[in-house]
Amino acid sequence: MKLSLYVRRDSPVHALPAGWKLSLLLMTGLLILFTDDARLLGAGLAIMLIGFPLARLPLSEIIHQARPLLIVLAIFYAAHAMFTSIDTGTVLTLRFAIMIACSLLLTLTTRVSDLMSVLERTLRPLAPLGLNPEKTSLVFAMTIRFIPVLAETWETVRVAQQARGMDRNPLALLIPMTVLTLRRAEQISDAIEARGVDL
Amino acid sequence: MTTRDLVLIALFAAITAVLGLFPALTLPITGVPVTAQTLGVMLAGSILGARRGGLALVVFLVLVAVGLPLLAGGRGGAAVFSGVTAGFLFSWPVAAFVIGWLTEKAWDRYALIHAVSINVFGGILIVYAGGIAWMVAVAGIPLDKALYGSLPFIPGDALKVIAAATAAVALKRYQQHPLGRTA
Repeated sequence: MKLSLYVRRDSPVHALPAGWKLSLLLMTGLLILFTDDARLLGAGLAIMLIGFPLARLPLSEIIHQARPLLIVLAIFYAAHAMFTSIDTGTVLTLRFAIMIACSLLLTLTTRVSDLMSVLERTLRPLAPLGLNPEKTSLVFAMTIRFIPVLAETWETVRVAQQARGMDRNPLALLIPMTVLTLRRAEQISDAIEARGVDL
Repeated sequence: MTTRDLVLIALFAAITAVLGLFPALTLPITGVPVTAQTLGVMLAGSILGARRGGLALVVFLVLVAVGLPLLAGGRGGAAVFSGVTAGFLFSWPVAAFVIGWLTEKAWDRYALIHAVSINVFGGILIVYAGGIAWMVAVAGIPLDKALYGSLPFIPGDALKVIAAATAAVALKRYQQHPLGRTA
């Protein structure tokens, strides 16, 4: 299972620091709200789209990620054309398209670990408010680690219930799954505390 | 927050991610996937309570935002938060928190009827309110059209409510429910 959307390439877009890219994304989000001019927004979208060939991303990965969002966007445009006006529809669709292109570019060209450290740096000033940066990082790291573990548990439970002819009943999977997960929570927190990790 | 709380938050964020691995049924016409992931929202709220449940979904969404493909169909990244249907995602932590809060309030007499009503309120009403409000306010879709477009998802959500409610009540009966512990 591939646990990141990052596509490794040697490109100027990849080389840009994660914090910059994130700030650019937020700034774009604000800027597009200041204009209702479809031509200006169209130009903005065109500039965004140049980023993709510049980043040397494989077309298949872009399509795989963008397709569901584009389908919704197409329906959205059609709905506007039918119920409000084509002009409003065009402006709003262009705004969404710019944001989707911009954030897709960020996701495909930036390592998860880089974005996480930007997040940690941003959250650090909040420490006096009770947000512990060490605890926060631990929770994120644990979640990523638990995903394959729980997927495996799910498969184990499914096979066990299949042997009993119960694998068609969602509750026969869900209840053992939650009980096992809660029991595992005890073991893991005991293990963390037994190692003297002081949080 | 104790170490146990942190572990529980991480585990339920991970459960929500695992629920996204199930093949999503894509609705014909609208193309929006029906996923098992709101079951994770209901489970987190019903089992962990308000604070931990809400935080589990915050953790999950942050991981999606930084680029893990954890949403059904292997989607993720910041782009999903700028789409027309992003309001549904934003409502997940709120829904988990509210489900958890109501579950804590009803704890002493918590039975299937309470569990079902709480999850209908949090897992369906709040999620749709968030999703539809976003469609109307941000995407400018007329309210009636947004409501109409969301209807096909209700039957699936009703099944998820029953599953989550039954699981939560079963955990309480078998004294495995974290809210039942006096720790």
